[in-house]
Amino acid sequence: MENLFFYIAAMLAIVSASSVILQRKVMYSVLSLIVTLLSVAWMYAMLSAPFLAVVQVILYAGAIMVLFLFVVMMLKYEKTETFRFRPGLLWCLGLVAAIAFLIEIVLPLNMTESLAPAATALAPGFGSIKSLGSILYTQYLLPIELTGILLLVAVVGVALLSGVKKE
Amino acid sequence: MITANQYLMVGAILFAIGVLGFLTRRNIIVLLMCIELMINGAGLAFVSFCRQMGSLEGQVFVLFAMVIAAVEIAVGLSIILLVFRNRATLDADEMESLKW
Repeated sequence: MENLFFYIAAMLAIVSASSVILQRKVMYSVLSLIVTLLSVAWMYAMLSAPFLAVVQVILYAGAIMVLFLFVVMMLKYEKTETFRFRPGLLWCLGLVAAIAFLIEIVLPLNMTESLAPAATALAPGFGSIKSLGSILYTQYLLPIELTGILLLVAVVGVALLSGVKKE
Repeated sequence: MITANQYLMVGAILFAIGVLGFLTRRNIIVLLMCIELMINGAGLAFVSFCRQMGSLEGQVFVLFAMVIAAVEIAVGLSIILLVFRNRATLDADEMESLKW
């Protein structure tokens, strides 16, 4: 049963991810990316990370993709729809580099013997919001605060970039 | 029984698809989406290792990566809007001068 769920999720993720880079219209790319993100959330849930799965759905598939959809609907530009890929040699070089990268990363995975499933039983509540929160606000307090400052800087930056200047 | 290697493989394939799209597509919005794909591939690897080791550090890292991705997309999309307003193009190959 677990195998079946895993293979469905993996297939969905890979097919929709390839659809992201193959679609002609940017809108369809955005919609396929939403499917990819949801299937990644599915795999997070299978890897006993329920809180991350929820955050993935709310933050990624919800907030970020809505932002993408707004921008895609605002901008009309058809030239990159008839010519999806970069001109001539650049396209081929990119393909070669990506295939080389895939081989480089998949071969070591195949050569190493498969990692055995975790020997120690997971603590109850592993990956729940409580366990994650208690580690976030003690051990990772400084990074959390810095992330807050980063968010503030991003808000100010976006307001500065997109604000209409008064002449 | 699904082993960690299989999840790592899916993560690697997602990352490679992101690299492929980033290197071959023209539209700059699609380039941003390919970055998202790469972040998700890396996150999947993080979470599968953290399931393997029984520690929560990997999940914390993925949480930070999500926040950073949200920030990056917000700033990146507003830069794209600004470029489109000034240059009327979304083609990454046409954005070649640093100052207009």
